[in-house]
Amino acid sequence: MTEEEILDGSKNNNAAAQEILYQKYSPKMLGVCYRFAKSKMDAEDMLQEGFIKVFTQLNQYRNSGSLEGWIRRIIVNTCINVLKKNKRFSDCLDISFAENLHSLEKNIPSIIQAKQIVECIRLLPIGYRTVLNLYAIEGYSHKEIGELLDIQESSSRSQYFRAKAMLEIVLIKNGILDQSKKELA
Amino acid sequence: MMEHFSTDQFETFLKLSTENFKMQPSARLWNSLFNKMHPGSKWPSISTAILFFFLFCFFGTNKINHSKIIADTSHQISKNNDKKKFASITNHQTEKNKLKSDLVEVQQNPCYFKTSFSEAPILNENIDSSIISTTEILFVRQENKKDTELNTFELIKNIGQHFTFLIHNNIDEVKEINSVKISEKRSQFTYQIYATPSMDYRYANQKNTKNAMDSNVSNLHLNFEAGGAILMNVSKYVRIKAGMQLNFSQIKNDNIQYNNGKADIASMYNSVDLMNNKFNNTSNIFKNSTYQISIPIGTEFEIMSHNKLKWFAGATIQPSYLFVSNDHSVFTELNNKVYQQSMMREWNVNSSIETFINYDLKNNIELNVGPQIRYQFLSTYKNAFQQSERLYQFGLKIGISKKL
Repeated sequence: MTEEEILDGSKNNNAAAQEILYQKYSPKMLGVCYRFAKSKMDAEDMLQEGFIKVFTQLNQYRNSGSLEGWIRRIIVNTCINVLKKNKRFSDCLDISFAENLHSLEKNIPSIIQAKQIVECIRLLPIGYRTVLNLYAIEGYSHKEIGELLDIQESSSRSQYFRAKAMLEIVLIKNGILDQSKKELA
Repeated sequence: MMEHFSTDQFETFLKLSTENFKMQPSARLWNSLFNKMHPGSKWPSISTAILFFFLFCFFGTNKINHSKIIADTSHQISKNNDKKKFASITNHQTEKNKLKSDLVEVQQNPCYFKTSFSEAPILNENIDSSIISTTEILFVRQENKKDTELNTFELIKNIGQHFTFLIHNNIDEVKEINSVKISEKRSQFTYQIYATPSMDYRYANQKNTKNAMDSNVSNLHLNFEAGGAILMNVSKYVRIKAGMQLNFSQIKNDNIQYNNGKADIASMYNSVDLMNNKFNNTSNIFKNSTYQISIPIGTEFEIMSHNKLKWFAGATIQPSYLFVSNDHSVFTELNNKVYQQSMMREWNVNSSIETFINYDLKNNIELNVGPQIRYQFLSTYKNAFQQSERLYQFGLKIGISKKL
């Protein structure tokens, strides 16, 4: 099946086409969810909710951008909505909220670098992690993040810089940062 | 001192590092998602659950029936023929006093009773074993053997056998010889096997159009279905049923062609003409066939009965699964004929209504004969295809049923 056939089939609620679409994009999208979620189980719940939206809103996709980008946007929005339902998440977005770094002093198992970095990101407090995910990885602006999370643009900016500083510490502690800098250089 | 990344470097680093990060979702996730997206597809599991429920009821009730022990004392023959005594233990609770007096009377005339199987009428007297076990202790006496105590459990094990019993009433210290037949209460279940030859009527039309010209009706074809079912009486006139059946159907001359990349069912006559022109050296008839397995679940009502004849009407809903399909597809250019099963809908729902006459043969065996109409709710073909097809089948159901 070509991408167009998969897309048409999925729009027509064809289970086979939907499964192909799901199989194609779900691993990457689960990776996205995992960066936002507390656990893999939570990430799977987010993924499921996200894909239901993908399938039900697929008729709105106009082939103007990449399908993956469109799906990714829906998945990210779903993750944010799920997080926002948790009251503690809203508290975490308070700029005065600060967690000590003791919780970050964990060693990340050395598997592959992508996995290590994702695990490092997941060590950050949830508020910081969410802003960092949205800004640095998903490419949202601070203005968009503010609207999405119902916080001030300036709060988003502050959260991001704190998150970035924290992440740098975690990456260095786990021996990832220096190595990466060398690679980038 | 820690050297910080510039914002751009940091973002690039994170993006590059995590962009292709993938995790494999667990298998249950797709199943759960599928069920949410296609709630109608839940019926196979629902119907399977219903089937298991009925099977559970069947075996469960059968098991429970074992505790309903029937003691037939109506045909007892004394060893001393001049001293025939009847210790009626029928309706034990209501006839408690009668029972005691009978027992006393029998005790005064010691005798040996034996039940004659051939003479014993079937189940004309019932007694609940639980009542016996709470008020009396039963002993069994077999020839040349010592009397042994028989509790309810042992009675259950000995269903169908005949013993000479000693009934001991704890209260009155009365011990008596009695002869009973132990047998099961008659089951409320019936099993049925049947076969139904039928003719079908297929109505195919283009999706998203109301143009009658886009519809076509195919020839009548001979189909066949056969299966078995368990029926349970829920009242005197109503019984419910669940079973399993195999459906065979064939679609002669119905050719599938691809038009502009989309599968289509061509008008029968046109495509046959095309086929004739193109496949001069091959058969002009495309014989397609499908095999489905289905689980009919339904109910039957007794409308009328007279002597050995009973007239029933019934209806079933039949979740069905297509497990073999030999359907041919013909591409637009008609150069190739291919087998294409993927276009057939695997899961479907049929319903049937029927009316039939039951004729009581003998030994609880009945012959069932009557007409049946079956209708297929969903199109034969998957949603992705341009045409939909509804199937009607008209058949004559012939079956044999036996009360358990």
